[in-house]
Amino acid sequence: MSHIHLPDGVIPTFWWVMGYILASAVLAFAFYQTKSTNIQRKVPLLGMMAALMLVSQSIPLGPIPFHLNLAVLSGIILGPWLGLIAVFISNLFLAFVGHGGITVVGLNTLVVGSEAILGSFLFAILRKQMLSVMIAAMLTTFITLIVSISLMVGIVALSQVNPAFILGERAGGGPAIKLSIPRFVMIIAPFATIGTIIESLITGLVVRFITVVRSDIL
Amino acid sequence: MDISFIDNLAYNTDSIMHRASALSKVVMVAFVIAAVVISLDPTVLTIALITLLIMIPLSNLPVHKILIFGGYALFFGLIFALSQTGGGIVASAIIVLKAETAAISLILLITTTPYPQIFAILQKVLPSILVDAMLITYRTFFILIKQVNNRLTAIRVRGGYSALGIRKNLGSIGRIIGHGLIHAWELSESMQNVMFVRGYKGKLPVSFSWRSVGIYDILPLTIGVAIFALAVVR
Repeated sequence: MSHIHLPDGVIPTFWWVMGYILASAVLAFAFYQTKSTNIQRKVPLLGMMAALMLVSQSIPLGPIPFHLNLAVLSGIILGPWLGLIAVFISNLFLAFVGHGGITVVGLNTLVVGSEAILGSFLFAILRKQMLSVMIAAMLTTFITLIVSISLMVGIVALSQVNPAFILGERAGGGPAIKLSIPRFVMIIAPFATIGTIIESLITGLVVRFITVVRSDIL
Repeated sequence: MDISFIDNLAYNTDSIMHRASALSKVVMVAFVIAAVVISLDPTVLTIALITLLIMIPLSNLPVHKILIFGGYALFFGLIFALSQTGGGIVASAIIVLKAETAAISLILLITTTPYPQIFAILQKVLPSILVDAMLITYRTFFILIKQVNNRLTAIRVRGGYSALGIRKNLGSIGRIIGHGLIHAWELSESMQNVMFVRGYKGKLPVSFSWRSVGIYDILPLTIGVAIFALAVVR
């Protein structure tokens, strides 16, 4: 669990609506980008990768209460844009089981989807620079997850500039809820650190395995 | 994340909620989410959560399992609750109640409604290719989870996976996922060919009928509207 999925009700309406608008735009761009690859032929592959992401979350990691996400791996395997679409599908499935809010699927897609996009480009660069594919995949995942966690913290911090007050969302009263970003970072830091290390290691191991068994996939 | 268990509950359990149409339950969830978004009143949120929790045994669902699923939202909600300042314990309670109420409403929907019925509604608002990919995700999930569980059992039997052996576990999991990925890739190639031969043009047929709405829809609709009305009134 390198990702802290945003739950419903903590992000002001303005921001999650913006999240949906932005995610829709990015997804539309992703569809546009994949047009040349004949997306209809890629639908089964897209579904398979999203399914694998969901399956990997069901695998117990021993005594550690973490699960994998494989968003970076989906970017490495499918490319940035198909990887992003697979992340959206996975996020929507997860929202239905209460793992991340349904109102924040847009924002969660932007955060987790950034891993597929950045992971894909970064892996292509690092692969050329390094001798070991495994190290390249591990380093890609590590850097990408740090960026996506920073993005998530950034979104939470940005949403503190609360336009809901302007829109009259608190017209009925209620306590003034404001998040302390340093405290938020301190709470998620241990989970994020362990999660990032585990995800990086496993992504590296999976990529090494694929390189040995079916290198044409990469 | 036991999607196969959830799917089993949705298909093989019978209750008044299971008999209600997917549409009425989606509308219920929409009203509950709207209430969660607009309400900052802990009483309203508590009433909403209790109402939904009462619906779990009424829907013949295993309470402890559903609460475990709800635990994810509780955990994430707690992170935000502990991070808030200025609002005191009430504000923390509101954050947790909002996250949990929304999550339980969604879990209630998904444990009483098979995924394909929800996809049929989503097909009205999302691009058909996206919904097709979701249907394939749903179908493939069960193939892959079975294969992964078999590999996990095989590795456990051979001593390659133990509760405390994190290092060894990571290596084994890497290989299991690698195997799963290659299997998924090969599966997708054959599925691609089958779909192409059958004349797939970018839309898989998913049945949906507006006429399926009936008497059992009164309960979810009433719950949804009542929770929303309470949030608006208070």
